[in-house]
Amino acid sequence: MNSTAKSLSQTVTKLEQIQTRTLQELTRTHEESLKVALELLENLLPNLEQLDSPIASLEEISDARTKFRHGFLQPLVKYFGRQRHRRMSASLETFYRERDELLWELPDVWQGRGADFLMLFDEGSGHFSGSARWSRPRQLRLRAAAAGYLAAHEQTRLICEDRLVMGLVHTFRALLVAWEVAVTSRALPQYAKVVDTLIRQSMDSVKDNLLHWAAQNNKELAGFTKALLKKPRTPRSARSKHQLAQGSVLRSLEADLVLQEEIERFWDSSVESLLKLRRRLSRELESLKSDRDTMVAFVEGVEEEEVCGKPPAGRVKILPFRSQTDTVFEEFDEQTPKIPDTLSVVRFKRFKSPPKVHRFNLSPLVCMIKALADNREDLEWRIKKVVEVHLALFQEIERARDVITYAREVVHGEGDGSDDGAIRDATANATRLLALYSDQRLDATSLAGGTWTQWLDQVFLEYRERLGRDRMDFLKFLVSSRGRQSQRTLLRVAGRGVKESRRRFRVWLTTTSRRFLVGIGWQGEERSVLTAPTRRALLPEEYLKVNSTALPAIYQRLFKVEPLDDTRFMVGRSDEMEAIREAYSLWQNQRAAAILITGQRGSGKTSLLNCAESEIFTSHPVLRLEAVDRILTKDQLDQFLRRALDVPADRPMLEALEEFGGVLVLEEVERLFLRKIGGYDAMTALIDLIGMTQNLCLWVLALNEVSLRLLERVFQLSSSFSHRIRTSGVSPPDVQEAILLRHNLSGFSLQFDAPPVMDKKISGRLSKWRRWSESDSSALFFRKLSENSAGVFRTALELWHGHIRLFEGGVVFMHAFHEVDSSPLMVELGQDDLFFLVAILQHGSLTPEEVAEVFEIPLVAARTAIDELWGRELIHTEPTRPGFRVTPEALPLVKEALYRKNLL
Amino acid sequence: MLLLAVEPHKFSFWDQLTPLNISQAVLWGLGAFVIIKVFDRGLEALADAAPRARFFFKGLIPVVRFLITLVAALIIAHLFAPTPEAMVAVTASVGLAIGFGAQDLVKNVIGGMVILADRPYQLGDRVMIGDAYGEIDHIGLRSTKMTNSDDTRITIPNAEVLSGKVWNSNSGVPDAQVATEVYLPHDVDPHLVRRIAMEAALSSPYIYPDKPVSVIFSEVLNQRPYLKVRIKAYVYDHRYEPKMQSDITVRVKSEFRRQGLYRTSQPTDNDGPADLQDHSE
Repeated sequence: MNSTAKSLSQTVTKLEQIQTRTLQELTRTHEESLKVALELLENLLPNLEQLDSPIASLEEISDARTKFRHGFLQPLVKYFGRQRHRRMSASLETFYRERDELLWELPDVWQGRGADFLMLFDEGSGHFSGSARWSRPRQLRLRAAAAGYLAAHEQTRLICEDRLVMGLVHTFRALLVAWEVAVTSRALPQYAKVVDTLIRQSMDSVKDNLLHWAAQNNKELAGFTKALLKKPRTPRSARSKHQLAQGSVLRSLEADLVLQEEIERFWDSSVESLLKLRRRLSRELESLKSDRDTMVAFVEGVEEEEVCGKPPAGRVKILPFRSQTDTVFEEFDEQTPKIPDTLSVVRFKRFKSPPKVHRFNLSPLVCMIKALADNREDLEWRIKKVVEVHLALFQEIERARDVITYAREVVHGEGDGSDDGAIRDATANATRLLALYSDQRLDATSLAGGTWTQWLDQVFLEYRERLGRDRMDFLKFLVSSRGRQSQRTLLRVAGRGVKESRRRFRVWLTTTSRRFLVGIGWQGEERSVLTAPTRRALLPEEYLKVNSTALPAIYQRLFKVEPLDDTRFMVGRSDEMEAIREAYSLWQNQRAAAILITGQRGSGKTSLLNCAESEIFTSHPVLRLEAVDRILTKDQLDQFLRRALDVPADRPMLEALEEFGGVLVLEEVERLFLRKIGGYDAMTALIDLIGMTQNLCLWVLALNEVSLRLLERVFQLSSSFSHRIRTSGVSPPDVQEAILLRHNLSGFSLQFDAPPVMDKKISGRLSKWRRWSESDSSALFFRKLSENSAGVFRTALELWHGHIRLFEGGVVFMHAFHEVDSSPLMVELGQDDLFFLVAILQHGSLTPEEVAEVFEIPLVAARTAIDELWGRELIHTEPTRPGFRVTPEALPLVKEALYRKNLL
Repeated sequence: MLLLAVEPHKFSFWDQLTPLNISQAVLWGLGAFVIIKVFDRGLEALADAAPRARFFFKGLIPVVRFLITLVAALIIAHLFAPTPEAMVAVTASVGLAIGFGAQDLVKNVIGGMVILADRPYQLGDRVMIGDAYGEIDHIGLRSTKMTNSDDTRITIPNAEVLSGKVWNSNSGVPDAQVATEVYLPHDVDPHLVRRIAMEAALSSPYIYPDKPVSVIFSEVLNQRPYLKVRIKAYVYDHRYEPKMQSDITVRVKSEFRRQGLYRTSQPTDNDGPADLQDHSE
C-alpha cells in the first residue's frame, strides 16, 4: 500500500519536473532560433551592396555572390545540418516518452476501501474527501485511468505544439524569402523591416504558445489525481498524427533549403558556362584584331612602296551565334538534372485533431527549364550582338582585302599595269575600313560587362516568379499587387473596347439607316457639292526615283545596269551553269542538244549566256544573234541567218551551218513572231531548222517567260529543246548578296536610314519581333528590295540606285524603303490596258503599228492606247530597237495586276 | 391527333407565344441577319480583292449563311418548344401544316441543302440550268439566282435544280471553255482552215494559253453540204465568253474573207443555211 502511494506521489512530482524541463528546453530553442534568425537577417544587409551592381562583370558578381552566400546561406545550412531546428520536436518527443514511462511505473490496479484510499492518497489535501466514500473494497485501474485522462486532455496541448512548429517554420521561411528577395531584386533594404517584423511576430506566437502549453500542462496536473477515481476512458491519442504532420512541415522546410542550395550550385555552373562563352568570344576577338593589324601593316606597306602585292590571307573563323548558344545550353542541360524534380510545400490546414495539412507539389526543375527556354532567344540575341561586331570587323578586313585585290586586277586589266589612282583610292578606302573598328570601340561593344549578368539575373528571376506563382493559388494571385494590377489593366482595356464598340455601333446605325432610307426612296442620295478633281493614277514615285547623286566612278562601274561578263558577280545561277555545261558536253559527244533559256527581262539571261560563253563554250566558235526588227516570215528569217553567218544566197543553209559547227546563240526570240493570224511563220521555220540541225550546231535560244507561255501553246516550243533553263526571280538572300558583292568591292561604307516610324501601339506589340528584324534597317531594306524587285537583278539594281540618298566621306547613305501603294493604279488599269500590257510582255516590245495588227484596231486607237500607258509611266521606248516595252521598275506591279486577273 | 397523342396536357404551343419569347425570337432573327450580312460583305470584299481566289471566298458564303440560319432557327425553335417533347409536338404540327400547304417550300429548302452538300455549282460559276444560262450570284435556301449575258436576273427554285440537269462551264475556276462555230463551203482546204482557226484563237486577247485549243470539223447537210468548224479555246475569265466568241469570229471571218474562202455573191436558197456567210454562235 505504501509503495503505491509513494509511486503515485512520485509520478506527479516527476511529471512536474519533466514539464518544467521541457518548457525550459523549448524556451531555449525558441530564443536561440530567434537570435539566429535575426543575426542572419542582419548579415544579409551589408553583403547586399556587393551584389547590387547591374553592370558588374561575371567574375565580380560571382565573388560577391559567394561572399553573400557565406554570410547567410551557409550558416543557415549549418544550422539545419546540426538539426537545431528539430530540437523543439526532440524535446517534445522526450517529454512524451518520459511521461509514458512514468505511467508504466504506476500500479495497474489498486484494491481497497474509500477510507484506505483517502489515507493513502489524500494526505490531508481534501481533494478526494467528497468522492472516496465507498465502504466495500473496490478495485481501481489506476494506470488506465491516468493514461485515459492524459489522452483526453492532450488535444489543446498538441495544437499548441503544432503552432510552435509552424511558428518556427514561418521564421525560417521568412528568412528564405529575404534571401530570395536579396538575390533576385536586391530590394531587401526596403523589405528588411517587414521581414524582421515577420520573424518577431512568428517568434512571439511561438512564445505565446509556449505559455499556453505550460498552462495547459499545469491544468492537467491539477486534475490528474482526481481522475484516478473515475472510470478509465479508452485512450485515443492523436499524438502520432500530430507528430507526423509536424515532421512533414519541417521536412518541407528542409527540402526548400536544399533546393536553395541546389539553385545556388546551378547559378555557379551557369556563371562558369557564361565565363567559358566569354573566353571563347575574347579569343575570337583577339585573333581578329591580330588579323586587322597584319592587314593594316600590309596597306601601309603598299602606300609607302607603291607596289601592290597580294594581300595576306585571313586566319580567323567566326563561329555562328546559334552554335555558340547551343554550346552554352548544352552545358546548362548537363547541370539542370541536379535541381530537385519536385518540392512539396506543406502547411497546416487544420490544427484540431486529427490535424490536416495542405500539400503543394512544385516542380522547380520544370520551372528552371522553362525559364531557360524562355530566355534562350534573349541570350541568342545578346551573343548575336557580339558576334555581329566580330563579323563586321571580319567583313571589313575581308572587304579591305577584296578592295585591294580588285584595284590590283583593274590596274593589271588596263594592260600597261600603270597605277592610275585606283591603287591609291583602294589603299585609302582599305585604311578607312580597317580603322572603322578601333580597339576601344570593339572592347566597348563586344564584351560589355553587364550583359551576361543581366541575362542570368533575368533567368533566375523568371524561375523564381514561376515557382512563386505555383506556390500561390489563383485567388491569392488575384489579391496580390500584380494580380490587382492585372485586374486594373483588364478593366481598362475592356472599358476602352466597350467605348469603341459603342462609337462604331452608332456610326454603323447611322449609315445603315441612311442607306435603308435611300434604298426605299425616302431620301435622295447624298451628293457632294464640291467635286474633287480626279487624276490619272501613275506609277508610284518610289519606283521612279532617279538618283542624281554624283557617285564615284568605281561605284558607277560596279553598279552599271548591263549584262554581266564577270563571273564573280554571278549569284545564284550555279544550277543553270551546270545545265548549260551538261548540254554542251552532250552536243560535243555528237548527241542532239539545244538549250532554251527563259526568264523575264532583266533576270540575267544575257549575263548567264555571257558567263557561259567565257567559261563553257570555250572550244567552239560562238555566234551571238539578236533581231533588231521583227522577223515574221520564213524568208526574213533566212535572210537574217544568212547575213549573220555570212552565207551567200545560193548556198544551202544546212551546209553553211554544218560548216559553222559552233554555238548559235539567239536572244530576244520574242521578236520572231507577232500574235496574229500568219504571224508565227518565222518561228515555225526556226523550230524546223533547229530540229534539223541539232547535231550540227548547238542552238541556244533566250526568250521571256510570258512569250514562252504563249509559244508553248502554239508550238509546244520547249519540247524542241533538250535543256530548258528558267532564270526568273532569285531568292532574297541572292539579291542581297548580288548587291553587297558589288558594294563591298567599292570599299565604301553603307548607312541605311531608319525605317518610317510605326504606330506606337503596333510597334509596342511587335517589339519582340522587331528586335530581330525590323530594328535592323539593312535587313528591312533588303527584304523590301527583294519583294519590290521580285528577285529580278536588273530591277533590284535600278531600285538600289534609286534609293541612294547621298554619297559623302566614303559613306553611301540609303533612303529607307517606303511602303509603296500601287493599288490606285491597279484599280484604274482597265481590261484593254491589261491586254496591251500582256501583248507587250509577250513580244518584248511593240510599236503602235504592231499593236494595231495584233488587236486588229485602227492605228490611231493603238497610238492612243500606247500613249496612255506611256503617260502612266508603265512603258517606255526601247533604247536600241523600235517599239515600247514595260519599264523595269513597273514590271513587278504589271505582273501582279495581270496575275490577279488571271491573265498571267 | 398526333399532337394530342404526344403531349395531351403538358404542352401548348400557344402558351409559349409570350411577348418575351416573341421579342427574343425577333432579336435572334435580327442578330442572325446582321451576322449573315457582315460575313457576306467580308467574303465579297475578299473575293473582289483577289479575283483569282473569288470562287473560294464566294463558295463560303452560302455555307456560312446556311449554318447561321440553322443555328438561329434552332434557338428560336427552342424558345417556343423548350423540351424535346415540345419540340416533337411543334415539329409534328409544323409537319402537318407543311403537308397541307407548303410542300414546295420544303422541297426548295431541301434542294438548297443538297446544293450546299453536293455543290453542282458555286457562286461565280457560269451555269446552265434548264434553259437559263448565266453566272450564279446567289445561292439561297429557297432559290438560286443567276444573271445572264443580257444582264437579266433569273431566279430558279432549288427544287428544279434537284430534278433537272445542270451544265457547269468552269466549276470553280475563272477560265472556261468557249466553243465558237463557223460555217464554210464544204470544198475549202481544211488544213488552211485549221491553221487560220488555231491562230485566230491563239491571237485573241481573251485566250487563256495554259489550256489547249482545238479545231473540230464536221460536215452538215442542209439542202446542200457545208463545213461546220468548231473552235474550242479557253477564255481567261468566263465572264468574257461572249466577247471571246465574238473576237474569234471576227478574226476568223476577216481572214477567211482575205483568203477568199467565202463567195462574194449573196447566198441563195441552194447555198445551205441562210446564215452560212456570217453565222456564229
